[in-house]
Amino acid sequence: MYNVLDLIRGSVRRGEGRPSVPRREKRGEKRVEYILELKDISKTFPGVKALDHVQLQVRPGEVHALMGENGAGKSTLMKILMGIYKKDPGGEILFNGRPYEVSNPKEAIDTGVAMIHQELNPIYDMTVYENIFVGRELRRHGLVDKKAEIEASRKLIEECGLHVSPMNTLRELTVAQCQLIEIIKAISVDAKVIIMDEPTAAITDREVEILFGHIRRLKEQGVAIIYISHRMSEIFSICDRVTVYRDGQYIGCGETKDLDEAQLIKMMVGREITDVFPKSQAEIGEVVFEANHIVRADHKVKDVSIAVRRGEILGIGGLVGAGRSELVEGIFGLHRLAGGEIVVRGETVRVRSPKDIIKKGVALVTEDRKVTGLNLRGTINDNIAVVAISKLLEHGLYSKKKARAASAEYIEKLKIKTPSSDQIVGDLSGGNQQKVVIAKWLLSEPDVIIMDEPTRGIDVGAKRDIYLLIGSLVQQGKAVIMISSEIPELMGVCDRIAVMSEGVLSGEVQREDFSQERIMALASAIEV
Amino acid sequence: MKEQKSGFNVRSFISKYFIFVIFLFLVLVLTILKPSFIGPKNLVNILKQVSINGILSFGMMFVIVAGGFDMSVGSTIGLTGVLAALLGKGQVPLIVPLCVAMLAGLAVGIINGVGISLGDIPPFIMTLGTMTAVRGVALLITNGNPVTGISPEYKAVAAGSLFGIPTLAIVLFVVAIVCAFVLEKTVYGRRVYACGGNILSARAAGINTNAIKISTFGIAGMLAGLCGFLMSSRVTIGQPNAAEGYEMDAIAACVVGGVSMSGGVGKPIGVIVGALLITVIANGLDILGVSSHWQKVVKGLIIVGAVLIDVKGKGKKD
Amino acid sequence: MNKLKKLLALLAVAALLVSLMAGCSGTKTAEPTAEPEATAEPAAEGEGEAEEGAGEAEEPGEAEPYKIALIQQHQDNAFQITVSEAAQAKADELGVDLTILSADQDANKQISLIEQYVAEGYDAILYEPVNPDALGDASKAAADAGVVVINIISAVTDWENYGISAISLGNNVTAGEVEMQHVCDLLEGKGNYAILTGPSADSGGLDRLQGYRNVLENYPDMVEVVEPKDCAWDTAQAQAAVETWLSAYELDAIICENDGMAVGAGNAAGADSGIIITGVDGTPDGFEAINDGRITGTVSQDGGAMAANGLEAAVKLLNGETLEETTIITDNIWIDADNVADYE
Repeated sequence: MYNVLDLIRGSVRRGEGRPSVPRREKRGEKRVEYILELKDISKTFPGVKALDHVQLQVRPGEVHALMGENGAGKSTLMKILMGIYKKDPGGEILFNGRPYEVSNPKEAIDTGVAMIHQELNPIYDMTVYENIFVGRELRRHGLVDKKAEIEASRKLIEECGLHVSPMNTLRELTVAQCQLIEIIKAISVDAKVIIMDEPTAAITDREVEILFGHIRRLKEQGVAIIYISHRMSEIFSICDRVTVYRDGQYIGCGETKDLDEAQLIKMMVGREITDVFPKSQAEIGEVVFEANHIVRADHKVKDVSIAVRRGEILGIGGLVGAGRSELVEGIFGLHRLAGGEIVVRGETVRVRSPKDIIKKGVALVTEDRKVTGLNLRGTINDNIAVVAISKLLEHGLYSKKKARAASAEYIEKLKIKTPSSDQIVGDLSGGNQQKVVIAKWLLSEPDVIIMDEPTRGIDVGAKRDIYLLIGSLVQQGKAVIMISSEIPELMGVCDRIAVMSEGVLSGEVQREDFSQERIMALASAIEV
Repeated sequence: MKEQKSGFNVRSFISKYFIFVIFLFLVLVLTILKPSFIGPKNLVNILKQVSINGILSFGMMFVIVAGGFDMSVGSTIGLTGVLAALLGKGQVPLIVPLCVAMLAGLAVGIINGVGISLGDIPPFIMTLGTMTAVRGVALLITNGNPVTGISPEYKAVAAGSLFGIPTLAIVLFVVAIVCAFVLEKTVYGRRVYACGGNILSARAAGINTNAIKISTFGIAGMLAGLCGFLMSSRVTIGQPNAAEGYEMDAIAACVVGGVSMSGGVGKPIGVIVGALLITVIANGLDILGVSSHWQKVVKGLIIVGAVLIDVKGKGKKD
Repeated sequence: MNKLKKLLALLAVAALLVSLMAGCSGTKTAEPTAEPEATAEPAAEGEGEAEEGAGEAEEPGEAEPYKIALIQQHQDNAFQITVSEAAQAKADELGVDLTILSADQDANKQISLIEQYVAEGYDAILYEPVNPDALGDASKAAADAGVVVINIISAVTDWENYGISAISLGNNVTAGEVEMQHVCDLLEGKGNYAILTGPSADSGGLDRLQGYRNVLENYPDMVEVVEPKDCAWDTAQAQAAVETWLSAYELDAIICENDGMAVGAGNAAGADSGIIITGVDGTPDGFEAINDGRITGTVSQDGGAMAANGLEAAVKLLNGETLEETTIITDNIWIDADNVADYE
């Protein structure tokens, strides 16, 4: 199989042609042990020491995991590497044995360091091919070579197993597809080091495998990958070595094959966590919520029925694009339905807008907390007051005192790490933001809580807090519907998993029958 | 997410450029109401009248596509028009007032761009400031008086025509071609869209977003300077208070033409249609002899209505 | 970034200093004049003391020139520039100390300026009201403080009731009548015409329109082909409107409410078009267009004379004299190719 990446590199660096730099280096005499070496790096923000004399050594051709809970300093370090932040004086960074000093992303990319950003949105109004080549457009006679870009993009997309046209705008794509485009973008840059910050946060196992295929091929070419992820299974399946930070400090580094999950978690959180998926026992009662024969007007969901009982956690699994988010958004009145019936506590509800169903005690924690979940510029109080403002009134007026009290209550209950309830939500870590979204819905005291990817992009400790919270909710007799792309998570937390594929329900699995293979088979049922 | 079939698809074309349909409908209605509307003489009028707003709209388009906003272009026309008129009394070749006007416009634009990108001042506030200050400078230079006595050659620039097509329209045509080329074919143009689409993403992709922003304001200013030069030629005097409120018409033309106020979206052809629509409304109502008070009402309704129909017409596609 | 912040901070400090200095000098000039103000107050209280007070106030007035403020509507066009120049010339002739200010088309600012100059102890205030209905109370307060208040160019509604001593103005209705009369005479009472107006709610413009209508009543054969078009005094707008009209209508005359619009109409019609195009004001751009045949003529609103007459009235009143007429009308003049050289 020919390699499109090399083709593109050839055309990007006009006149230089193949072979690509990493390969030449393999043959060359001068070989450094570390392609990237960071020694004694510190970074101080006003009032906070984000990095405290940390180190990191990356060998050419290795996948190096960088782990740590949110706030451990991983992102800060990567931003220093990309020239977005400037490190404190002292310490040094060596790239290929030479001092590495960059002051903006362009210089970093030119030097040979590229990055897939964790929470950076793509340019939605641009097409796929335009996004892939933004900032390093292919040229012909000094003008953009649209044809070559489209052609190269088409090949890259095919290799990734994506079914999109290079001419689609990203607005027409799902979150996962966008994420894959970001990945394509980074790996098609001619880089010696690629930083991947949570590259799999929004994609499902099938695409993860495709990504891993790319990573292996990059490895062979001598490209080093710095891999940041909270997913343990990925660390063990793709990474060669792992470096762990905690609270801005270097904890240790080791070969993955010498470590196990428990040891790694202990290094990260500083204490032992025995059960990753705590499962609390709750009494399962009567059916409290049913959605029957749901058909969306845009036919992204075709005749799907689900039901959930009090005290039950229903998981919804499936591949990206299977229609899971589309189903719950349809139920919630965010999209027009062409047919179907929604029944809450035995009563049929006509849902014209989310307001109608919220009134009946149903909550939806949406997939993308930054877009539909939160007012990032508002305080915790502001965000908590959004849904159930009626509970925060005094003499008919909004009472800040009550809002503060409510916030304080949920900060305590959900273990939200924040100096105060007046904190701006955008400044909280991902896990804590997710807890704020959940808190705002809990204030309305719903009976049914639908959560779309509630643990996406948050760390082990925060994930566990959310599992515990879900457990305590069902113990109070509430029902939970949870969408997740991580099959182990669904299997660990849910009582029952409904699997979707291509907009229809392809099957349901009870807890006693759970197996990864079974769920994967159902998820790809129609495609095979 | 199937790939769209290649080849021309009338329905998708119409839904994409619905504003075209609205525009043609408006032309049809006006022609029925007043046949002389479509007469050759009035077509020449429309070409003359669309030119200055059209050129200004293209400058505005660069700024808006890059995620900015410029209130100061109207005032810039006032200032540059006065400068061009002062230099256009026949004492130096015409190229001098043209260059001075465009350079002065460029300077205003760069001040805007630097304040916004390096000074982190919101575009609305920054350009509101320059809008006021630049108008003040124009009044200071002339002491409030119109500048008279410009040379016959200078007057002939806007009054002239080539094969029956007014010079003004030819200038607009050239500007439109150049702008469309820059935005759609060059790397720079692509980056303008990237900046407006998502500035953080663009920065992370290694694009110098500050330079892009400053340059778009520079282009808007420079084109406003060109408008100033043409305006003085057209009205035969340099008026310090010329072109008040023109920035609003330029913004309206962009928005009607499908340029998103949040940046990153917009096609040059849309801006042409937008500018034509704005001009044809005014021209059509004048030729019908509608009272000014009604004209304001009708113009407002047509602008909002056109965008509404456009949005709804596009929405049906999904 | 840091450098920029420092620079901004420096600028801010500089701005603050400048404004402080301005504030200081302001109080300085106010100090010596505080006395006459103090004496003016009791004057308003009791009849018996009034003469005495007035006598006292006159004495420093004799030693020092009168301080008079002229607050213009704005200073942005040729007409207003003529006003300030003529007022200054008259002030030099009469030996008074004249301060000329602009309200920038803002009634609120005009009120503030009046209050400020009353407080600074000015002897008289002349102004052209931005809005005929907004300045009454401010004028009354000024008059009550013993300041002579005079309106020029246009007048406050019910001006007599607000302590305003005199008004010096041209008559916009008359100006309109003069303009339209010339048009009708040139067309011998028969023809198609169109009108270009200033901003739709402008009182001066409405008066001129009234003047046109007054004359047209006598000429049944004059036909108004299209509704009057509001071109907001703007040359470019007028030019576009007239271009459009000429492609659909036969027009014999275009009557404009100011010269700027007449120039635009003239540009659209071209030189020696045979269409009669007239304006009001008598500004340089209008004269230029008369000279090269693009427009036929204009009615001069002699703003300079209005200001000068107003100033003269103020000084008379300050000297204790009485005015023969409190409404001082300045005549309008018809200017065309024959006599334009006299006014340029």
